Amino acid sequence: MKAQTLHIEKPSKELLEFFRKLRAEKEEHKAKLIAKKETYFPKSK
Amino acid sequence: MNLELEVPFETDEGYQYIVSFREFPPNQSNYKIPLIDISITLVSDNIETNSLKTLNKFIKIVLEYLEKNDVIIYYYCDTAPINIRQNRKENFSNQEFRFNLFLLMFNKMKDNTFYLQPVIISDDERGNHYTSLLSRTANIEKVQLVKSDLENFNK
Repeated sequence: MKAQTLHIEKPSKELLEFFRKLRAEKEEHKAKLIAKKETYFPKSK
Repeated sequence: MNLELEVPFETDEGYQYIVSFREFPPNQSNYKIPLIDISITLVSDNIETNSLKTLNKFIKIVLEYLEKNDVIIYYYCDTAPINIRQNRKENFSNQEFRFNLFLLMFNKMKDNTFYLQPVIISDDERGNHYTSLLSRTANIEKVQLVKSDLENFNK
């Protein structure tokens, strides 16, 4: 079941900063996952 | 209850992914339901081209998690490069492309067990933010509460 998209076209400065921080935090988390990829996908010898 | 989970999987084309679920922010309880951040991360050194089979696999992992855990999933689409057909009429950003694909695949299921609330925040300087809130349909009011908080945060 899908709702209508909430599109905030003119976000406040606070909301923008919140989402920019989220994006930066996601990038950090992604880097951590990539760094431990060999835990899940060991290189074959 | 531990809600953290990492699911590794490799596609037929050889792309390696880790799907990660974690509480975000940790230990919050404003909504009387955990908010879970999901990251679908390509960890192999290539630029992805998603097949329908791979997209269905993503959706399956997400919905299986929701079947086992009564939570709201927060999905912030990845901004990493993705191969998009060159002759497309629409000019999507990488994140917007993923967002549209995810919505399309979700809607194709025509399943009323789950509820999806798409959210777009315009950002002229750094590129728009494409996100979705996803939960069991039984939690529709709680999802609406998160949505309302976002709208109120904007005032």
